[in-house]
Amino acid sequence: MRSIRSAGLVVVVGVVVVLVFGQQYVGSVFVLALSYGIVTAGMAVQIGFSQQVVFSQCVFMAFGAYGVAMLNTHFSMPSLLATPVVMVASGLAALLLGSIVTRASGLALAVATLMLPLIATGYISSAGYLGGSVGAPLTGNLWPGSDTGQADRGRAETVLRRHEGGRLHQREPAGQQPGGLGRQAGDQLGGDQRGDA
Amino acid sequence: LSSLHLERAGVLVLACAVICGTMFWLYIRYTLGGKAMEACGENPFGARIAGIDIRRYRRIIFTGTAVLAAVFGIIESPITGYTYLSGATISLTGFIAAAYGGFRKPGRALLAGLVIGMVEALLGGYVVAEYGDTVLYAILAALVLGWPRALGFGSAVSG
Repeated sequence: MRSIRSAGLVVVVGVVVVLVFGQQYVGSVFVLALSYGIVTAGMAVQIGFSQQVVFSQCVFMAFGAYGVAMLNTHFSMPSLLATPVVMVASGLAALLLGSIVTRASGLALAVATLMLPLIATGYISSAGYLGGSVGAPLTGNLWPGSDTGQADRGRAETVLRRHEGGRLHQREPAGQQPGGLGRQAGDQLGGDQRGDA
Repeated sequence: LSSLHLERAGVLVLACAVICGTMFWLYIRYTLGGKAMEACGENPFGARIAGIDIRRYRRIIFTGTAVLAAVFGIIESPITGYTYLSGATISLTGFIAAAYGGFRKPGRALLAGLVIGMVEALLGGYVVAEYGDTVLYAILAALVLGWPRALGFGSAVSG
């Protein structure tokens, strides 16, 4: 019951933050943290309900993100169509991987699944068709007719800037900072953004 | 209402969170499979004696949580972009958040993950730009060492 209360608290706070701070930095951070929080809740379910320590959730996050991006950019598939396709594909991949790795238990499973993010990171950072270390182009918006492209682009620049070594200086709004490598990379990604979804 | 500019991506994430949470709660609360899954978490040995195929439920949980992660990877990518390093730290900080949830309370884990994510971003953005992650990990280490039982590590505490 306390767990439900916690989830309810997050939902109520989420609604307030999205309504009041939706277009501000705090709002975007909240949305990002919420999406990671859900994945964390999945990790809690995995550990708690199957008694198995598994670290492969971020691999499947990447599978979803890159899967939609690849279908969108290389096959011109709309995001709304690519989403269920990638969901089914990730389920099949998880079923295949799960039938192998869940045979192990305890430390063996933890170490084996700890290797998966490292393998994925090494592969993705080297694979040119996935965007390499810069990342794949944005896939547009999942919402039909969304007008949040500019905000999305600003946030993409923010994330890129973090990965390129420069930390955030968020007293300035994201997307309105002076140029630099982050800006260039953001432009590169933003330029590829599509509004087909 | 015209001044109320909704952040659609935020609404999408919230809606998906509510839908996924509600579906999981209904499954655990009202289905036989959910009860069996809960039994696997409570006492795997007892569940096996009762005839529950633990390996099958472990595969289901693995697949379900993987699809959940993929869904939020899909949702997150148009919001912030996604690079090869985007999910790297979630294994570590997510594990701490899951521990705070007692490993069987996803709602508390969600709250903990949200708080950790917000603190990490706000530390990096407003307080110590270069050492945001460092300060966060120091705080988490202090919490684990200071209150291990409260963080779900009770069984690992000796003495």
